[in-house]
Formats: sequence, C-alpha cells, structure tokens
Amino acid sequence: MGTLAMLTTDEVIDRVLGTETPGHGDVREQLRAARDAAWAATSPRLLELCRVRIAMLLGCDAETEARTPGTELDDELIRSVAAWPTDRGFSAADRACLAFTEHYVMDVASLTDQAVTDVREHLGDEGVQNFVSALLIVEQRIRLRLAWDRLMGGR
Amino acid sequence: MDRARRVAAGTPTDPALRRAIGGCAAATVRLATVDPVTTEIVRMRCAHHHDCGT
Repeated sequence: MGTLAMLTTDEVIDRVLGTETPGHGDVREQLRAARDAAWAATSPRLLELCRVRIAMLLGCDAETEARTPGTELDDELIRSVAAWPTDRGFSAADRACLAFTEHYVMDVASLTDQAVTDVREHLGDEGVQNFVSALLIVEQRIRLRLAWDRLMGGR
Repeated sequence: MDRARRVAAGTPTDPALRRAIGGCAAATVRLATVDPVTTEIVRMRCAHHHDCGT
C-alpha cells in the first residue's frame, strides 16, 4: 500500500492537482464541477450502482468500497452488483443501465443499438444522454485515480 | 462507421453537465506540461477508442 491507497478519489485529485503547476488548479476545479454536475443530472441510485460496477471491473478497490452519500441504496445490494443479471433486488432500469455500463467499459465503440434502446426505454432520450455523459465523468475519475495510484504508489 | 441515430435529433444534454465536460476538456488541453508528441499520440488513441473519425 502506498501513499494514496487510503485516500478518497477526491482527495487523490486534490493531492495530485493541488500544486502550483500552471493549469493544474483549473483542471481540478473543472473535475470537481463535472463530478457535481454528473450526480445532479442523473439518478443517484443508477449512477452509484454503475460507479461501483465500473470500479469492480477496473480493479479500483478504493472506489469499489466507497459510497456516495444520498443514494438511498442498501449496502448489501451494492455489494451484489456483479450479480445484477439474476439478483431480484435489481430493477429493470438498473439492469439496462448496468448492461450498458459493462459494455461501455469493456469496448465503448461496439456498444449496440439495443443496449441504448434498453436504457432509453427507462430514461428517455434526454435521460440517456445525461446518463452517458455522467458515466463518462465517473469512469474518467476512476481511470485517473488508477493511473495516479500506479504512478505514485497507491497500490 | 455509419450508424442510425440513437437518440432523437436535438435532444439536449443537461446544460451544467455539458458545460462541465467541455470545461474539463478545455482545461486539460490548456495544460502545457506534456510534450506535443505525447499529447497527439494520446489524442489519436482516444479518438480511435471512441470511434471518432475527426
């Protein structure tokens, strides 16, 4: 375990970008704004389930164990998110978004029309657009954290 | 690759979310601490990954 392992992703971002290097402060502020906008524009329940699933798939232990306040999700359900195809605790909307998310993480360029249609049935056109944009931000933060963990000894 | 439209034309993205994504991209592009060759390689890799022809 290195120096970043026990920090939240917000704390890691602050540590890495909270420097006097020109432009770092600007990027840090924009990342914070993006995080806030993502959670405000999307169902916190859906985004939290997808955030944890992304973290599991990418092997980011800190994000897998972290919990976003205010999602009203039962922790037992979050911990069983890998079993979403068969676990009855997950709604049809959860399943559509989690299926989309798994495909998005593995190979975004090959996402099928059906995966989008399934999400759109639950969220509508605008909801799909906001969900995908929020997913981009969530995934970006996790990948950034993983890169910095590796470079700076987080794991 | 040609694809059918997946959401209705003109569907808006949440304005704050759209601004935030653009703000992140712009702030990152303004950074001058990565050399131009590495920056271009990363940009091209991202474009390929996201199936973006531009």
